[in-house]
Amino acid sequence: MSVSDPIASLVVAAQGGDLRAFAALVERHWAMLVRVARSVVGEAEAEDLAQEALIVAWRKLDGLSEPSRFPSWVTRIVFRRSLRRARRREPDVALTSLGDPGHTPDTESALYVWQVLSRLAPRQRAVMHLTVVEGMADSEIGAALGISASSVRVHRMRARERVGELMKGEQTHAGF
Amino acid sequence: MPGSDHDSNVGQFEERLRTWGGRPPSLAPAFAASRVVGQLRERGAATPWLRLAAVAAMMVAIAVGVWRTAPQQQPLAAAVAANGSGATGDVVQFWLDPETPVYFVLQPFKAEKGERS
Repeated sequence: MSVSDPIASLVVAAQGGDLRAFAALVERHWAMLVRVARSVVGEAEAEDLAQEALIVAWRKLDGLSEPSRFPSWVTRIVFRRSLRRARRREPDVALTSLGDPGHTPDTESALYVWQVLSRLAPRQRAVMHLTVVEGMADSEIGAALGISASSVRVHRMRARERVGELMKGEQTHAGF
Repeated sequence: MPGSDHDSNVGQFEERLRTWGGRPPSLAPAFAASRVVGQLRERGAATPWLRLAAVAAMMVAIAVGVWRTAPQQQPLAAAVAANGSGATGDVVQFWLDPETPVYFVLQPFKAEKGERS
């Protein structure tokens, strides 16, 4: 562990029972963890799920042998809980409400993104998110999701194929 | 094989995903951190009481179990005493199950008037 690594120092302090250090870790990673959860389970549950995952992370913190790996370790906890939640309750969102007059262009765009994402497998959603939004390398994504870098590439390729099909179908049927 | 339309559609989607997925959470990081730590403190404070309660419940359960399974000699004496036959009566004991003895106390045979003894 590098002493100059602030995250690793905070993790070591938190492993010693320092709740303030853990709070600092939460503060640093909160936004990213919520974004990951949001891409897998959607807007409504993402923040609650991230909080629950962080409480689990605190309990398991002693098991983290390499403190500098905290970011990918905690992302994996959030991802696994998101995956379980997503499998329990697959969203049934139809690609039909895009033309509703109540939707502003922003909400319409958000709705559309989630409608497309929800048609991908949860793991594909996470790979797309970590690639496109977080800009992570395949090896980092693999570490965060607990899969190999080559699996990451396969999930991304399939996700892109599916997105292309969905958008093509939507253009055909709704003139999107 | 995906064509240029496909690539353009995917690119368009990824652009929207970048905007949608990159939005900040509604809960500010500092507030989220204090909420998580607050929950941990609450749970940490509750844990010792829960442990004490669990230990107490376990001790009560063990005590009740020991009391119920202990061999009970008292009913035999009570049955004999209640019968009034004292040590002269014969006692037959059956077990309905390991915890349920049944006693039969046999009166010593006494000849009634007019009977042969």
